[in-house]
Amino acid sequence: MSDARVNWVERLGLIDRRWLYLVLLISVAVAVVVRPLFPDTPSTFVQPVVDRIESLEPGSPVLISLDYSPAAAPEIEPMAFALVRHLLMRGAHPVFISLFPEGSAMFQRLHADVLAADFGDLEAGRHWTNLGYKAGGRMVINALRQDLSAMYHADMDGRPLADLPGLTDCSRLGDFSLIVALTSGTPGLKEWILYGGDPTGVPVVGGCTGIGTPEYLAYFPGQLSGLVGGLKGASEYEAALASRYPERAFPRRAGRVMGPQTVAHVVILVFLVLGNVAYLRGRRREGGGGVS
Amino acid sequence: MSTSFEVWLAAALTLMVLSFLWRDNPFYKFAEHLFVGVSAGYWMVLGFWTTLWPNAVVKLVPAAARVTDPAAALPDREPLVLIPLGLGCLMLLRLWPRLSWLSRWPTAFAVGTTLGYNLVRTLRSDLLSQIHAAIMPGLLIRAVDGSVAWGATVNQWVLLAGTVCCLVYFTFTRGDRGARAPLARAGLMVLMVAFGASFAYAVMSRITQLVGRLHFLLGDWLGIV
Repeated sequence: MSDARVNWVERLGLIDRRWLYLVLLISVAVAVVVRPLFPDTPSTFVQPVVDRIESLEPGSPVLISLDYSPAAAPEIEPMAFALVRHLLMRGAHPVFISLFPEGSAMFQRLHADVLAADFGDLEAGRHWTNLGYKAGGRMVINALRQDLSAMYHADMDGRPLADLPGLTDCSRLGDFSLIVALTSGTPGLKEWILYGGDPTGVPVVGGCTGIGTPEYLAYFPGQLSGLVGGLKGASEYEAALASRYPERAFPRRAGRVMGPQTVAHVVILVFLVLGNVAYLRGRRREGGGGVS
Repeated sequence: MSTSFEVWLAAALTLMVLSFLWRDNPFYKFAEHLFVGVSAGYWMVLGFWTTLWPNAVVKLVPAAARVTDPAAALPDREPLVLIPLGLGCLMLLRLWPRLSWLSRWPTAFAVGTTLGYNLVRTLRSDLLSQIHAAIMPGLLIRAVDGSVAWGATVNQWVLLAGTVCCLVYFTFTRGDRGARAPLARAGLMVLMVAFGASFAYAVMSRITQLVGRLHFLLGDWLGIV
C-alpha cells in the first residue's frame, strides 16, 4: 500500500468533528425537503398495541396519560395522534389526563390536530373526555385506583364527572379497559405499570421516547402489553393503521420523519466505519498491531 | 417565509443553540441563560397555580376558587391542609443556617412515607414480577395449535442465560476465577450489547430532535417544506 493512500486513510481520523456535523446537517436537511417515505411493518412490540385496541368494544373507556413535554413532542406526538385516531375509529372513549404540567398544552395540540380536525363530529364528554393535569405523580395513580372523583371533580370544561355520559360506568382505575401511557420521563409509563396496571390488572400499553425504550422493554410482555418505542415505533403504528384502514388517509407524520432519520443513520454509520478504519490503520502504523 | 414574530424569535433561538456545534459563543450563552431563566419562571408560576393554589389556598379559603373560575362551586374547608403546608414551610428554613435543622423533619417525613409506600409495590412489580418473567417453561407452546414456538423459546433461553451471566459479573464476593470467569465475561458482553442498544436508541432520539427542529426551520419559518 502506498504512503499516499495510508495518509489519506489516516487523515480521516483527523477531520474536525464540525465537518461531520455539517455533513449530517446537510444530509438531514435535504431529506427533510425531499420527504422520502419508506415502507414499514409493525414490530413484535407494536403489533400487540394495534391488536389490543382492535379488540376493544365500542364505548370502552380508555385512560390516556399525556406525560410528555414539548421537548419530546417530535417523538411522542406522532404516536399519540395515531393511537387516539385508532381509538376513536374503534369507537372507544378516550379519557385524557396528565401527570406532567405541560400535558395540558400537549392536549391542546392533540385536540387541534386530531379531535377537532379529524373527528369534529364527536362530542366532548360523550365520546372523549379531558380531565387535565394533576400534581402528585404516582400518588395521583394511587388515588385513581381507589376513586376517580377523589382527584377529579369535573372535566376541563367544568362539567361534573356525574354529568359526563361517557364516564357513567367509570368510578376507579380498575373500570377502564386499557391504560395508554405516553411518556417522556418520570412520572410516566413505569409508574403506570407499577401503581396502575399491576395492582388493578388493567392492561397497560405505552409509548415512549427512543431513550426510554430499552428500560420499558423489560416489562414486555408480562406487565406491559405493548410498546410503541420512539419515532420508529410511531412509524410502524402509522403503517399498521394505513394498511388496516386504507380508506382513512391520515397523514403519516412519523413515517415522513423516518426518512431523514434513516438518512442520518446511514451517514453516522459511514462515519463510524471510516473512523474505525482510520483508527486501526493508525494503531498498526504505530506498531500496536491491534486494538487492546 | 413566516411573518409571525414568535416564529422568527423561535427560529433565532434555535439557530443560537445550534451555533454551539461550531463552538461556545455569546449567542449560545444568551439562549442558554434565557432558557434557564424562562424555565425557572414558568415552573414557578405553574407550580403555584397548579399545586399550591388548588391544594392549599383553595382548601383553606374556599372562596379563592372563584379567583380562577367565577362559576366554580365552593369546596369544603379542609384545615388539615395546614399540616403539609407547615411542613413545606419548614423545608424553606434551610435558607436560614440557625434554623436549618428544622428542615430535617419534613425531609424525614417525605423520605419515610415515600419509602414505606413504594417498597412493597416496587419489590412486587420490579423484582418478583421480573424474576417470574425471566423464569419460564423450557419450551414455549403456542396456545393456538399446541406446537412449539421455537423462536420465542430460544429468545427466552438467551434472555435467561444473559440475566444469569450479568448477575455473575456483578457478584464481587469472589473474584472472577475458575468456572466463573467465562460466565462473567459473557455477562460483560451482554452488558455491552445492552449499552450499545441503549446508545443507539439515544442517538435515534437526538436525531428526531434535529429533524423536528429542521422541520420547524424549513417549514414553519422558511416555508420550504
